[in-house]
Amino acid sequence: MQTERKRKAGDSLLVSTAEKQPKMSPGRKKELQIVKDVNVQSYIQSRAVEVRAFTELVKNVGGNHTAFQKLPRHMRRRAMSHNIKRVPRRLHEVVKAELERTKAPAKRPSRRYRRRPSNLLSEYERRKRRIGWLETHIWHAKRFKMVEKWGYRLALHPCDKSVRACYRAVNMHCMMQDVSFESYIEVKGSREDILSGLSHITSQESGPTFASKMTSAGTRQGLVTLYSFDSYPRGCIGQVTYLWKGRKIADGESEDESLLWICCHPSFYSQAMSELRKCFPVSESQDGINGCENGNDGVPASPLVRVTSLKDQLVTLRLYGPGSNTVLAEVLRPASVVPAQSEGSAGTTGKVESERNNPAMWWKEYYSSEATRGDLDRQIEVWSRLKLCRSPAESPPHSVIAVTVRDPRVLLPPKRQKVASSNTGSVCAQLPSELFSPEVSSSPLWDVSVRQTVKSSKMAEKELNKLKGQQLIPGSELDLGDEESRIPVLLIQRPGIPSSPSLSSSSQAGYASGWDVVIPGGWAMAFWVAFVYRGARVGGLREAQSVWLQAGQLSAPGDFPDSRAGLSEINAELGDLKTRHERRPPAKRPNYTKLGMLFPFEYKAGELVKIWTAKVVENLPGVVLNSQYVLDGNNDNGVVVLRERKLLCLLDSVLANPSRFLKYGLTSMSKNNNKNNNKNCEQNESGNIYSQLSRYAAGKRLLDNFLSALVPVSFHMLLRGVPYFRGHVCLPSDDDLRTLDGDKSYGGPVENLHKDPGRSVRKAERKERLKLRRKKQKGRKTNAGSSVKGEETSGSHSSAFVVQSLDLLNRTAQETLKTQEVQSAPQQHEEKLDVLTQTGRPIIGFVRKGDFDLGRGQGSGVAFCSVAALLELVEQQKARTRSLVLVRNPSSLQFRFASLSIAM
Amino acid sequence: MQADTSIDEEEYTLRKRLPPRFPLRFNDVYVSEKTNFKAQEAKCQKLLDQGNEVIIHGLGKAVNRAINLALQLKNKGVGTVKLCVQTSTVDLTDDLIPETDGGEAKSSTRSNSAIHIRVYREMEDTDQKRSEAQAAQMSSGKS
Repeated sequence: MQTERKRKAGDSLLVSTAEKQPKMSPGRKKELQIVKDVNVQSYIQSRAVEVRAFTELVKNVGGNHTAFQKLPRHMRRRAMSHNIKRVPRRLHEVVKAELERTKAPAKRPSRRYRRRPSNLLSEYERRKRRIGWLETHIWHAKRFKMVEKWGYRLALHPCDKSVRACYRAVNMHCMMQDVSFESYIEVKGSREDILSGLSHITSQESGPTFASKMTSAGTRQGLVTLYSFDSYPRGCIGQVTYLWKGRKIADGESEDESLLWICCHPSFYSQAMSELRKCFPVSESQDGINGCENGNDGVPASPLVRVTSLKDQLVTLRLYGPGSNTVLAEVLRPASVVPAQSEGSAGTTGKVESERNNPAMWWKEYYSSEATRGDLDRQIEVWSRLKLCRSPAESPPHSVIAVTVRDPRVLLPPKRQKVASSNTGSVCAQLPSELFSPEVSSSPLWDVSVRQTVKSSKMAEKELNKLKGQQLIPGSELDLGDEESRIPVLLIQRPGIPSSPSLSSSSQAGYASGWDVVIPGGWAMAFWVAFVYRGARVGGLREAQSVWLQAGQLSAPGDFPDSRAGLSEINAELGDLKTRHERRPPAKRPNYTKLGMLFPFEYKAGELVKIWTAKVVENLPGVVLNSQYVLDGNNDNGVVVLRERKLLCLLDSVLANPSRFLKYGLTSMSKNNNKNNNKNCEQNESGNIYSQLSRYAAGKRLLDNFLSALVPVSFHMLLRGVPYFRGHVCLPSDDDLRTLDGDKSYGGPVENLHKDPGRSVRKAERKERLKLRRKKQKGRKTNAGSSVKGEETSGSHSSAFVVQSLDLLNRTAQETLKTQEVQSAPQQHEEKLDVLTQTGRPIIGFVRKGDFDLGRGQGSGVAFCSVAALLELVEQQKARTRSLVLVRNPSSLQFRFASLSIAM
Repeated sequence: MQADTSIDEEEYTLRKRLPPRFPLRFNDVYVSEKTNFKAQEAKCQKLLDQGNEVIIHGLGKAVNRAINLALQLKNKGVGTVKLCVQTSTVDLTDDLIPETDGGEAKSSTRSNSAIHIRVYREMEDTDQKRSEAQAAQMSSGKS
């Protein structure tokens, strides 16, 4: 057959079909004439799919059979599966591969072999490669439920009963958690450069920053919220703690080389790191950005700020509770740094020689100068006074103490015990602030080489045990002299709940106070076991979360819904709940449509804030919103959370007592302001809360900038009820409040049952499905019982029936998905419904976390509310002496009353 | 709080440290304003019955409560219980945490009164106790 080839534009090949026409039947001729050319490429392409589908089909005919089972009968041989040579040669490869696949896996090595130390270690190394392990991982994995979070495998909760036990430990004894997943970032350079760089990612308005005088000497740890480069108040990254290296006055090099450690949660570690790198560009681009900055400041351009990650170089163990002092006092015994030989006749030259001989003894060199040894004496003195205290909350908040301690493994008691108070004498002496001078926090831990030496020179457990075994009196203390490791340790105090009555009156002051123990990497297990042997109870993430909740404090990253890490945490939790919900049959799970929860698995704070802001602004002609802070629809990069301390304090005092605020204004404001205001307020007794607020600078700022912000509140139930995550915080109606005034034991209003528009559809479909199923079953029965004669008809009937029913089943399955109880698009049924008005009481915020508070014996929680809605709440309850809200759980119709305060 | 007059309230937050405490023996009871009085009384009575000695500590506002508690125990003891009272002064520290970058952390000390009441039973001479109890009843009857 001849074909005429033409090459057109591109590389598409066209084949003329004109010659074929005479051979075709006359009837088809007409149709084919229209197609003059066939594009070969597309022709083959479309056929290729079909051909592939056909071959697939042919291959799989006969279901799950091996290659030789598909052979025609006359080609089959006995024992083909046993001997491959009996299979036709062309099938050898296929059969070989099949046999390989079906072969049972090799026998697992015996447990005895697997548990050999070297094999076990290699197995651990293999498992560690996928996900990060803490140093205490194996200890935890034997006793805890482990979860994968933030790139680590972390302990969630112990396998024994623990929440209440851990509460008791925190309240009266000692609880401990390994928080080494929070890792440090080191920033090194001159202090001015560091501060000018960091000022881009912090804001002075939200509280003290890295430049705070309180923390600059290194005596205290600081707390600061990071934002993306120059984007405050948007782009929150998360809250970090930081520590400046103590300034040494004696040394010459101290002033130009400052060292800053930023302790960062792993969920936003990489984000913080990249933002920090933006602040301190590397040397190539230095003259570009950094030069300009310094030019403005008038500082000569010589900045070399280095940002390095200290991941896995430091270990942090967190101790909670009053007993942590006694536990620490038992474990942390200050080491003697005077070499054993030099106490005798050996002179200074001998000392220097021994240092050279043994680099492992870093402390000989470090403590060779009088200054450092003086520092250590000072530290030991402070520590010896601190450990006499009954609670960590007695020492100055966030204070930092460095000590160099002995190897805790040497001091390990033979059995686990519960330490009694080490102070059996009198009340401990005063702890004046002068005691905590910069020397007290100067530590060799800041030195990389020291950290490495301490890690590498650690005596192996085996050797130590051998030496212990050689002791003449079993159980007596081992005396290793200079061979014993000296470990530099930093102790950082956490103050816990403050005792001021305005914040959390009913909880115990000093709850959740404790120490963070920072030790060099490689030493975690030594200290961990030592703490456990002294009676510290170990908790996981869940226990830590409950401590945070009872302390009414915010925890990273979930309580930062304006940060990327926080939002992903919330969404992950919601997704988890959703899958759990969908696993259950409809009759065994709450019908959220009926409960009036339109978006049970979505975080809708952004929409809520928008609606409330619009609503409040409508009523307020004077307020012009600052565009920088307003959430605009097209640029939807999350919500803003109010974190300016002044405004939070103002809002808190307004919420605490709306009527007093309206009458007398702010009593805690500075006096000259107050005088002016008191006069004005007298006239304005009948005015509204907005006009009263706008009298203050802070109030005006709040109205102008943060009306469309979220604010974290902690709330306590008035009577009954335990709030949970996703719950609604609602505005009570006037009737509710009046009923409560009349009846003190009034439990709260009840939401009316909502209508589920998809219900009738689902019901009809279910009926249909049941009918089909019954029919199918009946068909099977008749098939089984039918005679050979009737088989043909029933067979043809059943195949048609199967096709039809399959189709129906598919359709119904899809449609039921659409008409599930959870409605994704409620506007179809009722246009009016939105986030705000989905329930009978307008929603002002969402519960972030909640649980039963063991300290109060009541439910309590943390929620995020719209600022505009909170002001509306105060406006509504301006005649009352406390502001109340309603809280409703996602799976209940019952509203409960709760009192609010701002969480700071 | 005497030193506070010069401190701007806007710039600082006051944070009270926990008051120093004696070491907690099993029979030390620290009375607070928040604890239920009945529960405290029951606890003290139990300890008294166990070891014949309880030491009740009260600080500041809780001094009244501590005295009340001790007297209740004495009343219930019908003359068998004796009190030994000591007062003291406790130095308390308040921290002033700056709200701005410029502020230094400060601390101020103040004093508060405390009371320590040893509530005990003497078990040596029962006859003497009986006579004492009678005397106490007599005296209470007279008054």
